[in-house]
Amino acid sequence: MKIWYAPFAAVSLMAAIGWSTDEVTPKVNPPIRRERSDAGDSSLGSQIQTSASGWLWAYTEVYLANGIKMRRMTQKEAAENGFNDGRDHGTTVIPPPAKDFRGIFGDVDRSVNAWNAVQRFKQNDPRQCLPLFRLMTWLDPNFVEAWTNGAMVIAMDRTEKANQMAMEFLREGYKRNPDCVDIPTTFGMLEITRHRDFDKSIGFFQKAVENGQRRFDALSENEKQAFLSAYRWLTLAYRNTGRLKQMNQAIREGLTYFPDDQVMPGTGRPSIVPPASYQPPIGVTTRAL
Amino acid sequence: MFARVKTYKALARGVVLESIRRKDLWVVAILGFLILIGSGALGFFGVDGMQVFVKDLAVTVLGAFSTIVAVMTSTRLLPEEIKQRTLYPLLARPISRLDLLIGKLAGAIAVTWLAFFLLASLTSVALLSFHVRFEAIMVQYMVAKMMGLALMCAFGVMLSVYMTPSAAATTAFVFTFGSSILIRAMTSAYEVASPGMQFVFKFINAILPQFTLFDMGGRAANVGWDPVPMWVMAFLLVYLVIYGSGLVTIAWTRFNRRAL
Amino acid sequence: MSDAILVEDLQVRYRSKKGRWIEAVKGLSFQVAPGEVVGFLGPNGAGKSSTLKALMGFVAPNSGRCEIFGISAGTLAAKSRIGYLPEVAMYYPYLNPVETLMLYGELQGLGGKKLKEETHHLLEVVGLKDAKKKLNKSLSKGMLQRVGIAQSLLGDPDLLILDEVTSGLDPVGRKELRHLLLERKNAGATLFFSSHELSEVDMLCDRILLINQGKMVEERLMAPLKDELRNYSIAFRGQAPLHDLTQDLDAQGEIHRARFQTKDALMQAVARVQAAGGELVDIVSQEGSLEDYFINTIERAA
Repeated sequence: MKIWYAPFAAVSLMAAIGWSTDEVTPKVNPPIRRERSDAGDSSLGSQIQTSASGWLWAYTEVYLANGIKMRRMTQKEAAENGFNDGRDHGTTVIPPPAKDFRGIFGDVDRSVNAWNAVQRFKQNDPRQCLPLFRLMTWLDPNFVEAWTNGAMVIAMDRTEKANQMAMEFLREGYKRNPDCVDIPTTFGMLEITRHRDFDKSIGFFQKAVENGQRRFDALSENEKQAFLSAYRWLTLAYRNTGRLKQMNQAIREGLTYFPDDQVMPGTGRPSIVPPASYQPPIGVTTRAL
Repeated sequence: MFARVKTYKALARGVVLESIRRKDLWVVAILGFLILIGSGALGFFGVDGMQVFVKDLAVTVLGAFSTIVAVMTSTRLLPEEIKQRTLYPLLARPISRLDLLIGKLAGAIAVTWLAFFLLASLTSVALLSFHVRFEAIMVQYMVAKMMGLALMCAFGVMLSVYMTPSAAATTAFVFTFGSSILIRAMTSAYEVASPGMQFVFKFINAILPQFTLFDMGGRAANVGWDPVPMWVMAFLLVYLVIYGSGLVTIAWTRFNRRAL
Repeated sequence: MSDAILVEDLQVRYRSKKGRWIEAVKGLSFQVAPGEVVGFLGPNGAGKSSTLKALMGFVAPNSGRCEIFGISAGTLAAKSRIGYLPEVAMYYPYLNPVETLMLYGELQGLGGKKLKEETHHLLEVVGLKDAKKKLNKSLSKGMLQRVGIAQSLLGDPDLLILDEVTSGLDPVGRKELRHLLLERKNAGATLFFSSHELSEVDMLCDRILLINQGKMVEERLMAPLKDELRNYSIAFRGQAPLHDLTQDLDAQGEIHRARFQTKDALMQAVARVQAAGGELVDIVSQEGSLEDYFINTIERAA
């Protein structure tokens, strides 16, 4: 038998399965990624790095689900479960007994592999994903979401040591992505939520806004969200430090980029502008996170 | 019966000795250990939170490396015997070709298990250094994995009788690493497939070696999974014996008629 | 008593890589009696190895019958009485000669202290005493052949089937091997071997089988064949009537030479020279060339 017969047969088989349905969507690449225009991105090495870090991003979900692998529901499954909202919904890769054609093989599969009925799911501690974030940022230092999400997960401990580590992680990421919006925004968020230091946070949000303005046309959807978020936080920080003039200026500026936003004008409404002596309840921002 | 066991033992010992002296096992063990120790570099965030990652890495390395050893050993045993003509003095002895097949398979299994033990021991050291707690499911993972490796060896030996060693190794890798993907794809696509395709899926599922059933890595790597019921372990053993015997029979029907 | 080897109308065919059938052995028949030493000769591709493989059960005959001591060839019972040396001896490169022999011994059903002793004894006999702990991969071709010979002698088999027995051996090795095989012969073992070394055949065999293109060409006992191949000649001065005894006559000066096919003719010629008053200068009895016989016979058959 020729050497290529086996892989050819396997690929054909997989293709045949693929052709039999157009409803199974693989969930490999991360839903959010930073758009980049570097020429280096098109090299094979970069593609591998990006794919590997993307796979790791998706894999964090497996850690969070205690090893249970998930996939998107098919349209039929979503309809059967009453999810007709047009959004993506997940289900276990290993189907429940009622949906499994494999009989005892399916029963054994559910017994030996990480599987649970969706109703009995439990979310694991996100800190277990930290090594994955570290790997992601090693593989792809421009994967900004990995830096910011990793930092937020590190800071979950709410200890000063954890905060410092998160900051250090972010600094490392910022060094590699000095023109990004997300990282300075996250810096600012951490200053507010962990240290209640609105003054210090303003500098970070200003930097984020500056980066966003400079590259607005090149921003990805995710970065645009971060840009919007930076404006909202900046507005809040100005308000809470009593710098109303700068706040109004920021709102005006922000609305030129995001004219439909309701949060910025809401933050600046005179009725809720606190007096200069006002100490904001930290829980508000914490919940916002 | 005793004489047969003695024959298998002698053949298997020869395979193991060769493998040890060829240093294949050491390369695998050292490489695997280095990967695990290298994972310590990911302890940037402290050891807390590393346990699941390290366990996951450990079962991945164990699974991948022992599969490579199983496939490479089992697929090249018989072809090498024929190519190097070491088969002639063996078969000149009062042993049947089935005896030779079983003895060589026993050797491949022994080598693979040895590699697995070696790697598992080194892995345990690495896991201990990361303060990983051993759970009962880890023992079951190892037992099931060893059964799965034996099945892989039988599969590899069977393929090697019908194909060239490189074709057999490639095919074995496709099935050992790809059967889970194939099964997952089929279970996902089953409901929306046509009745004809559903029948094909059932047929493929029935004949495909179910290597994925022997891998409890997903449970072993994560936290708080209960040990699997004993009937499942018994099922795996029965499946191994039946499917493995089938593979040996398929190999024998060809090997027995083959002109050497 | 059953023949040590019985081959009857043996046919062996192979399918080539291109899918064509190649007939390696075409209706071969012969017997080897117990205790006999038989050389199996033929040019390359004559079908010798295929016949030996059929005797060992490595290939299934397409038709015909092969028996070893009355037992169907290739069965466990038949193989338990054979010591076999393959044409190209390859042994596990990462085992040493002791381990190699122990492995084959265990497969032969031997074991324990007896096997250990026999292993060391045989390795000493074949001259590998000092190399018995070296890995096979570091041994020379000749040394590997010695390992092969030693393994074929394990368990004191009744029949030795040796394919290209002297392959890779130096003259000293050949002499030692000859000695070893003669010992086995004297101990009552049957020897059936193929070789391209006709001198070995000459020195060891009771009988030879000559095959070509898968068919038997000639089957001869060695002693009469040697006699037949022997050349006799005389040199004499004077005259003698020898034309009815030989046509192979010539003269150099006053010395006449005459060559004869048989010893009888030679004796008659000597008597006639003496009766005629001639003076005998030389009488020569010379061994015939087995090689010439081999080549001539094969050419004739072809």
